[in-house]
Parts: sequence; structure tokens; C-alpha cells
Amino acid sequence: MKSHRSLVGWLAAPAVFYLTVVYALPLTWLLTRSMMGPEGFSLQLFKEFFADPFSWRVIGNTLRIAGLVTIVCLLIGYPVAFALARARGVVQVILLAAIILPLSIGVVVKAFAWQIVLRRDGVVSQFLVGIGAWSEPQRLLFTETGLVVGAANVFLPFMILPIYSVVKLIDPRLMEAGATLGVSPVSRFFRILFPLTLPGIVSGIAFVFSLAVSMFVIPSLLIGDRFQTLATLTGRSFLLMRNEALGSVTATVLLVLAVTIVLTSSLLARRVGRFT
Amino acid sequence: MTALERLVQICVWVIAAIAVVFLLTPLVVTVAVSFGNSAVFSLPPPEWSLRWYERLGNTRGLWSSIITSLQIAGLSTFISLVLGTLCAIAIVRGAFPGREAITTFLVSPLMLPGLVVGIAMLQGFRLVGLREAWTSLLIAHVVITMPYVVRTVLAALNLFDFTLLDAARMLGCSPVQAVRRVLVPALGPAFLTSGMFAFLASMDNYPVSIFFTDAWTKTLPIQMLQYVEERPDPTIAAISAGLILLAVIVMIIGDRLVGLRRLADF
Amino acid sequence: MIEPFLEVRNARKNFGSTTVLDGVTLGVTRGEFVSLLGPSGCGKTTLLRIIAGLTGAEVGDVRLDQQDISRLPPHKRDVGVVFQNYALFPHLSVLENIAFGLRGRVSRDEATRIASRFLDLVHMRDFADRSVRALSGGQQQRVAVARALAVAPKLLLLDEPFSALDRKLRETMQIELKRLLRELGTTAIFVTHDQDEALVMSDRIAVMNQGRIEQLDTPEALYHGPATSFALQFVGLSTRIYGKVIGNQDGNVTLIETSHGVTRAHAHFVQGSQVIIGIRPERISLGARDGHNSITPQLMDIVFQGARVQLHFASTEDEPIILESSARLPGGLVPGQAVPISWAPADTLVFPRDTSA
Repeated sequence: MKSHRSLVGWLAAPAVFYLTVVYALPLTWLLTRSMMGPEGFSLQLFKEFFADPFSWRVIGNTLRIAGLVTIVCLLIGYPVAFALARARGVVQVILLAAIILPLSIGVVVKAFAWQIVLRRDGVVSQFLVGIGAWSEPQRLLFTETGLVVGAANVFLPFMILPIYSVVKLIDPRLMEAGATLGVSPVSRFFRILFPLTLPGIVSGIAFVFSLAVSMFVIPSLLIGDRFQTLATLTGRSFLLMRNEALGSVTATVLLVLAVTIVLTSSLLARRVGRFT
Repeated sequence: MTALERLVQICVWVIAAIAVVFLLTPLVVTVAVSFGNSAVFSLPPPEWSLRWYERLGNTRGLWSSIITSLQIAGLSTFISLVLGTLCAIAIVRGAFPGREAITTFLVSPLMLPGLVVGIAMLQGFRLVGLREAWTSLLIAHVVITMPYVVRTVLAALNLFDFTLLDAARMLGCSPVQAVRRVLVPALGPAFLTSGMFAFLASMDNYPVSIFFTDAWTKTLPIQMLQYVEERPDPTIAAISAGLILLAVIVMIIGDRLVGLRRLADF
Repeated sequence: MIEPFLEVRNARKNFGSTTVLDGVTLGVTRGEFVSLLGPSGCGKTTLLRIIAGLTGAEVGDVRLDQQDISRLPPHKRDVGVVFQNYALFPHLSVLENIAFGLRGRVSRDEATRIASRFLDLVHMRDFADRSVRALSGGQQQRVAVARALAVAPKLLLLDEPFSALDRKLRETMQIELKRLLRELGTTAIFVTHDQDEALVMSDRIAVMNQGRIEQLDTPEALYHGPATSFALQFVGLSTRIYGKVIGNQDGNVTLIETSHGVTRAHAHFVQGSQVIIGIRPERISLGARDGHNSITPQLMDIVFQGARVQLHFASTEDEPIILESSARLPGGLVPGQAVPISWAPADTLVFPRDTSA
């Protein structure tokens, strides 16, 4: 058995080797290439990129939309996670199905559907005119609002599920204990329930924010070319404009942003999960 | 329960109901449009008809893209299941340093922008002279599906009581038999859920796949996006409705086999 | 008549079609320690939760310290609870847990001071800043008790708090808890299914069965004078024999025919009633005696328990006849022998037998 333990570690070799060669090395190559000029190490491309005000608009767009999408998902997803944890029977099945089914369907299908929904004569428009919120039909397609709505729709399950997985582990006796100690319901929520859900919230925010920062198909279909994010700009650079230099730079910036989000969230998660 | 608690509870359920409607909107709209008669996407449709479904047979490139997607998804999921499970076993049972780092490494493709990963792989493949689309797609999709397998199987293995294997050995099984008869069935649900999600992730993937297509090799999402750009009509809705049906069937099978709640274990 | 400190009047609770509490009335005086004793499903935890306000009753009132608290939410009742699984807040340290209920009532410094005092009272001074998850069961329970008492509740409810602890620890905790409650003068209601625990700790015990209180009495009264056969059986050991009343003698002595012969008891039952006879094991002696009920059953087992010995005799019922003695037994007693034993008619407890059960 002693030799067994040290040998079994080698089972990891194929997967690790594969990913290193196919994934890690190319990524490193991409990073290094963006930092190489004709005479070796150079940040020239980056200097040019950050000197251009257009670049900052693109970064701003990316972060703003991702932030809005995350906030919307958090506001809707937090209560829904509680509802899911408390639901039983048919209601639970409906909620689970409504969350899991969209996850199983491609982003192209969903983005395309929102194209239909957000048009001037689409369902949302008709509904809002019908209830009197709008005086006349308006177009939500190719607007930031429409983009946030569509993206929030696609990413909502990724906020609900992490929070749900934490909420369902919380002992209901804890809130009862708080009540018997004379603490009012509002205080109980902020002092007991909310702190215990923080790991789930951090996880959900990390997921949704990084997904929203990287999204490509959704903005392509819902907001068009006049509005660029880092991801759409990267895609266009490679696929349409054949400007691989610019593409490499934006890809690197995007990569650094994504890695920062992951590292920050895992740091936060460790601090928040101190006692739980 | 105080009045405030009751009010909050009502609000929570109302939001949940709105969320359900919100989440299902794209699916309902797609199906509704696909059965409509008009070439413009109007809702509610003026007339019901199956004409967009009839068109599916004549749609150029649709079936080849479906087959390509299925092949790539199936093969890459299978490869990932094998490599990923071996790796998960090594992480749980092995004694080498850096196991947590390796886990993070294997799961990282999920957390990074697919576009960037696709670009990096494209340039990497080009560097070694690999230009063939189909092979490139397969290699890339293994990277996409691996995280799903590793994460889920690792979680299941962490919960597995390895003394069960010892118990099996004491009852007369050889080591391999013990693994086959005790470990594999215990991992069944993990294989199923991770395999399902990996397969769907591969079928759905756009940002990585877009860099590995050519005129003859397209995956379904790429083909669909092309239709949207070239010739937007409800045929696309019909295709989408087909995919929705597939997803419903997969979900029902998944529920029968492991239960919806297990599928929701993120 | 002075109203009791805590009074529950006619509490009734259904879960679906099952009646969990069937009109329970209970009165507890200030500073008293009352146990709710009964098997699982008898309703004792439900009654506790109704008093705490965590569950609502369909019918019934709860009054505490001259005030009707039936409609008040739990956080306004001034009733503390110690839960069976401790329910300590995992995201807070030990000291923060104890101080939890004090926030908002007193200043932060005062809260820390009070919490520290209770920390000392339960001998957990060194654990102030530790995470509660690193604590053992006994330590967690002490923190739970300190936390509940730190807010000086009028009434403390405990739901089988020691059931997960091993025997030695349980006994230590029982003594500590009683000392603490006596020092603070806190009234307490204690739920348990362990009769030894109830007998040791309580001023009075409420024996509960199927949603009703069968008897509410001091431990001595309960042990020597159980009101029902359930109370007889649930509290302390006893020998139980079935019989039928066949007649009366001298006014207050009833003759009961059993499979072991005719037994005399001080009881009043209608001729022909089916009854259960109960005798406490320490009230039976070896040897026949005049004026006592004497029988000669077969000895099956001698169980040596250190300070006491139990002798088990064959009986026609399912349970053996048990004799307990703290004196040394005469030599020559061998299982299989027929041995004469006897007990006084005054020690014969008689209960109606519910033949429909």
C-alpha cells in the first residue's frame, strides 16, 4: 500500500500534461507575445492602447455593464435562493426546472430569443405600453438596458445556485435561537442569516461578474457594433479586422481582469468563510 | 410570525414567481415564434403553422453542423471523463504536493474568458502547424469539458468512504473488482451530472469554437449565429425549439436518474 | 390564590390529523425547576415550543409573570431556550455568542462585561475568542446555557440539552446547571426522556404521554405514588402483574387474583375489574411473611450491581418479577430454585387495566 499512494499520483499526469500543453502554454505565449516588440520586451502596444481614449471607453463599457448585470442578478437572485431553499413539492420542482432548464440551453438560443423580445414591437414593449408605464412602444434592442436585461437573464442561475447551496445548509434553529435571545426579526436577518450567506454571495458575484465581463455572443446580438466591450473588441480584432496586435492586447487586458476577479473573490471567500 | 415577516415572505415568493417567468421567457418566446406563420418575428403570431419546421430539412449546413457538434461534444466529454476521473482519483488519494494548485489549474478554463482561451489556443495550434479544423475543435473542447468533470467527480470522491474498498477486499474482491463494483457505482451520479453539463457546455460553446471553423466544419452555435446574421427568420426559432426539447428530455432523464436537486448541486 | 409564575392553560396542538397536545394545563412557581418527562412523540418538545412562542397553539393561553404572552412573538417574551443541538452561531466567537442577546440592551462595554461574567460562570474563560466549531459537545452546551442566561430571561426552557453527551459529562452538567440556576434564581422547564435525569434535577416532574400530562408531582410522590400505570412504568423499575378483582376484605383491602395467587392491596375497585398490580423492587423481600403477599416464583437471574443486587424471577407476564436489595444475600441462592418472596399490601400499587389497548 505504501507504493500505492505514491504511484496513484501519476494518474493525474495525462490530464495535467494535456492542459499544460494545450491550454497553459498557449496562454502564456499569448501573454508574452503581447509584451514583445521588434527588439524584445516592450510594452509599446499597451502604451498605445491605454493612451487611446477609445480604449478607456471600451473598458468602462465592459465594467459598467458587468457591474449592472451583477447587481440585477444579486437583487433578484438572493430572494429566489431563499425561496428555492424553502420550497417543497411542486413549487420546488418548478423553481428547479426554471433554473436548470435555461442552463442546459445554449447562449445563442437565449440571446436570439431576447432579440425577438426586446424589439419595438416585441413582448416587453407591448406589455409596458399595456400597463401604462410607456406612452408608446419603444425599442430596447441595441440599448444598454436591453443588454443588461438579456445578460441578467442568462446569468441569473449562476447567482442563484451558489447562494442556494449555502442557504440550504443553514440550521433553522439559529434564527429561532436569535428570537429567544430577544432579537427582533430585522436584526436577526442582518446579524445571523445575512453573514452566514456571505460565502454564497461572494461566489455568486464572482461567477456572474466574470461571466459578464467575458461575454461575447450576447452583446453581439443585443447591442450591435456601436457599443464595444473588451470581449467584443477582441473578437472583432481577430475575426473581422485581422488586427491581431490589438486583439492580443485586449485579450491580455481581459485575461488580467478575469484573473483579478478570481483571485479577489477567493481571497474574500477565505476571509468570509472564516467561521463557517 | 410578525406582520413584517409575513410581508417579507410574500415579497420573496412574488420575486420568485417573477424570476420563474423571467427565466422561462426566452424559451417560451422561441417556441411560440417557431410555430408562427409570419416571416417577421411577431408575437403573438398571426397564424400557427409548421412551415419553419418543414424548412429544417432544406436548410443548408444545418445537419452537418449538428453532427459535427454531436461528435465533438461526445468525444470530448468522453475523453474528459476518462482523464478527469483519473486525475480526481490522483488528487484525492495521492500524497504529492500542490494538489490544490492542480485542482485550481484544471478548473480554471471555466473562470477565464472563453474568447481569450480560444485565441491563445488558435495561435498555439498555428505555431505547431495544426490547421485542421475538426481536430483543433476536438482538442479545444476537451479543455472546455475537463473542468466540469474534475470539479464534480472530485467533490463526489471527497465524500466517498474509501474504507468501503477495504471492506470489499476483505469480502474477496481483487483491487480492480473492488473499484469496479464499489467505486464506479458510487461515482455514477457524478459521472452523469458532470457528463451532462460537460456535453451541453461543449454543444453550446461559441467563444472558443469560433476560432476553429472553416467552410466545411462548423459547430451548431456557429452555424446558428451565421443564420441570424445572414437570413434572420423563424427557421432559427425552429432549430432553437428543437434544442429546447432536447434539453427538456435530458433534464427529465437526469431527474429520473439522480433527481433534480442533485443536478442543482453547484 | 396567587397566580403561578408560568401558567399554560388548555394548550391544544394538531399537526395535520394528529393531535400532539390534547389540552395541557401546567403551572410553575417562580424559581422552580420542572421537568417534562416522557417518551418521543408525547408532546413535550411541542409544549416547550409553544411556551417559547416558536410554535403556535390552536387553542390555549400562556401567561408569564401575570402577563398574557400567548400572542407575543418569541423575541418579546423574555423566555430563553437552550436547544438540543446547541444552535450556536458559527460565524461568531464564543464570547460574541454569549453577548449576542445583549446588543442593543446595554452598552458594548457592559455587554462584554456581562458576557465575560457568564463565561466564567460556565468555566469557559479560556475559550472567549475561539470559534464555536472547535468546541466539544459539552463545551458547546455550556456556551449555549451561558448565552441563554446572559440576557436574564424570566424563564429558561431546555430541550433535552444533555442527550448527546456521555454519562459522566451529563452528570457533571446536571450539577452545574442546577447550581447556576439556583444562584440566579431562574425558573426552568427541562424536557427529557431520561427519568434518572428528571428525578435528580427536578423540584417537580410532569409525566407526559400522548399529548397529556398524566401526573405532575415531586419526584418522591411520583416514585412512590404513581397515578397511572404509565407513570409507574416510565419512572423507576417495577414489577407488573395482571389480575382481576375478586372481592373485598375488611372494607379497605381488595383481593386480586393473579396467576401467582391471591394478592391483597389497599385500593378501591369494583368487583370483576381488570387491573395491573405494580410493586417497587426495593419493597419486595426474601422469605414469606404473615400479613404480607407471599409467592414462590422461580429464580432466573442474580444481577450484581455493586451497592445493590437484583433478583429476577420468572413471571407469567413478559417482564420478570424484580427484587432489589442492598443487603448481602444469603448464600445458597441458585438460579432455577423456587424462592419465597413477599411484600406488604400497602406497597401494592393498583391501576385499572385498559383491556382495549
